[in-house]
Amino acid sequence: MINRKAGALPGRRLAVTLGLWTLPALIVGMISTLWFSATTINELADSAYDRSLAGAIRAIDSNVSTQSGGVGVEQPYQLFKFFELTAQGAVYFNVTTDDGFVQIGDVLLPPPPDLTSGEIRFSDDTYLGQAIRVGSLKRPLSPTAPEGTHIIIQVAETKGSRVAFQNELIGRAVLRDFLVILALVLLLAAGAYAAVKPLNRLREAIDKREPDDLTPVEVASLPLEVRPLVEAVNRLMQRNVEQADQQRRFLDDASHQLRTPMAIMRTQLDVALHQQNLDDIRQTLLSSRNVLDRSVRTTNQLLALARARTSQGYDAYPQEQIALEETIAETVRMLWSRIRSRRMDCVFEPPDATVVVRANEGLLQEALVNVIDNAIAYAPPGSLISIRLQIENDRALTEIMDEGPGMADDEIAHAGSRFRRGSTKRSVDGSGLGLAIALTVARASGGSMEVRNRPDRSGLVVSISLPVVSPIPG
Amino acid sequence: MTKRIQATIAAAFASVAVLAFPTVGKTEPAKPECIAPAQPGGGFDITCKLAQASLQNSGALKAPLRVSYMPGGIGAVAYNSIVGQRRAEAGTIIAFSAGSLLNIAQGKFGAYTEKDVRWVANIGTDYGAVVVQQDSVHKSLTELMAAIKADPASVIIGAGGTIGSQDWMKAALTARAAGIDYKTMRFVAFEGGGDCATALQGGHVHVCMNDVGDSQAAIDGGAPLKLLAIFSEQRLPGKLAEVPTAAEQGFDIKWPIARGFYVGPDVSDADYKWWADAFATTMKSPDYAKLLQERNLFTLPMTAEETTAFVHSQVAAYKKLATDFGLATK
Repeated sequence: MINRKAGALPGRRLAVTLGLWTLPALIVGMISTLWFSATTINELADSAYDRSLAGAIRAIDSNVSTQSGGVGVEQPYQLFKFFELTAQGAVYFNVTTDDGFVQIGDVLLPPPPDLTSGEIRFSDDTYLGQAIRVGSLKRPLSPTAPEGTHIIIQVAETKGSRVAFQNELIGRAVLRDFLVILALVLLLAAGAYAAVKPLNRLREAIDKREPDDLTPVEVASLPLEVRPLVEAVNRLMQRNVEQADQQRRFLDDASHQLRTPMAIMRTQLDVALHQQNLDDIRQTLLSSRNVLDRSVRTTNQLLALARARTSQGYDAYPQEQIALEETIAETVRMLWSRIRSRRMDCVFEPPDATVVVRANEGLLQEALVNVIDNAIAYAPPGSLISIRLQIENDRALTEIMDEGPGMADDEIAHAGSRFRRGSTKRSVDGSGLGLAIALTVARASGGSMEVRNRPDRSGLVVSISLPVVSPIPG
Repeated sequence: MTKRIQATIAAAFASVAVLAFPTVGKTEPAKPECIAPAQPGGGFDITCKLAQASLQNSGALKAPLRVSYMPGGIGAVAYNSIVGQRRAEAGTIIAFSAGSLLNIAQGKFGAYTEKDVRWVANIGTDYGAVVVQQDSVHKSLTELMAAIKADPASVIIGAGGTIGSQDWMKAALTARAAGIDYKTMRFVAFEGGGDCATALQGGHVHVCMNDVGDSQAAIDGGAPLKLLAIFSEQRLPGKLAEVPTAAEQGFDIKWPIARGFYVGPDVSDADYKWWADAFATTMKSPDYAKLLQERNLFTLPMTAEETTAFVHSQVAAYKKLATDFGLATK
């Protein structure tokens, strides 16, 4: 199933993803730093250029004389000649008194903004169609009369060279930032490429593998972020390897299990062929038949297990809705002669209502047969086997209890693993597949199997839990 | 009767006669001073220096007349200073011109009007003139106006006074006659004709709207300037006959500039009369015409009531002119 969570688009280049995440942020960052730089540049340039304006203002100011009782302003043109050397533009001046009597210079200069006495203020304005920077100073005409008439001195210069200077600085800043971004992008690309190279090497190494080479992939040289993925794949492969191992062992054990009785029968036939006495031959043949029975049983169990395993994936062994209590009752009936042959008893208390589960009837019966058979085999003669069927929430719980010796804790942990037999019963015939079959069949029907010792007395409880299906009416 | 009694009676009559005519032999005011309310070298300076020379020449004033300067607003600062703090200084006369009257008409002399001082005399008249550098590209007033019309920002016009002053008015009238919007003129204000002429020589302005008196004085003194036009009815006599009038060049504008003196409002009648009579006598003296001519000024003798009437009518006329040009009036 392709997981479409988290908006993952299939197969985008890592570099593109990196770029889409970083480039917009880089560009926004660049623009904002440029804006701050521009503001700072403008302020600094202004303050530098304004200093010469302030100097011109102070120079004119110092040449204002009120000795005569009037207001004498010396012409500043000589001063401006030096000023214009550095200003590269036009310079204007305006001297007025706030009583309106004196107006000298470019009297059409825009009026100054609000001025505090003694303070030079700078402002931007236009004059004769050009942008100008104006410095304005207001001070009392007579130092002995600070509340009296004030004189206002203004010097203005065109902003051409100032603006050109600012633009050049900003241009340089833009170029610098642009180059930095370019370098960053190149480094990012190089970095992404270098980071991804080990993965390319990995791909080549895996491509070179033999088809059955499932050894773990080397993680040491890979980037830390990719390791968890590769380690998960390694674990998957490991589980695969283990499963393959298990199946090999299964084949191993199975062939071993079948070979032994066959070898025994061969020996017995040889013995029978050498025997003279008909009675002896009959005995030998009888015991061979027992051995054959056992082999048949084992083969049937192996087949059941194989079928159960496959029924987990496909519907080659169809499942249908069956009445569980009927199946259990029938199984008990089938095994009744064997139960009685050991002088044991089996009680089954079916519930009142029908319990419907979805399973393959044959396989389910095989599983129940195996479990009850285990109880018959391992419990002492004359003991009781109790079978109980209960409904808990939406599960049907089948419990088969015996009065045998139970199982040791570590054996309980491995119950269901094939061919593990309880250590106590070497002498009992059995192939250890019983619980494995029960477990596999339970799982195939969406349920589970659990094995535990009886709390009240010595014995084993095998409980099979199956999901209950609501019956189809009719 | 004896001869002694006859002599005594004669002496008594003589002394009575002297007492009955107090003007004869009245002492002149102490510390005579002429305030030129501008920078040195301008029209006011010439006016005061003319007074200085002529009063001494005619003998009306025995003590030397001191000339001092009090620049600011074509006489505004001086006017306020006199009316405010120096109201009764008998020895102080202050020069005025038609320009001062124009500014009074616009209320540019602060709270005071033409009624706040005592107008003493007119000693002569000047005429407005257009002055350029000697090697200026503008050879005539027509050319100059054409240049301004083509590109107002390219010609810097200087004037001894700010917007609304008589020098500005000359430029505005000429511009209006040339069909130029006078508000587009590129205009720089100076504190008097002398400052403007200096700036003109330095090339910081291209043309000055000045007066014949101070401009010709500068030219005579060697400044490389020339007069393009004179705002008079006919060509002036003497060496000024070479300069065409504005009317000749197609700009029918006349701007005579009366020049005179006033004294503080609280100066006593006796002192006021003394000054008026002194000027009357001086202007009648035979040398006076020569002194005027030396300074490129022309006769317009008036004193006391005549001057006062002249001033009042001029101010009224200027108020109308100012309203015409959209300037505020008092």
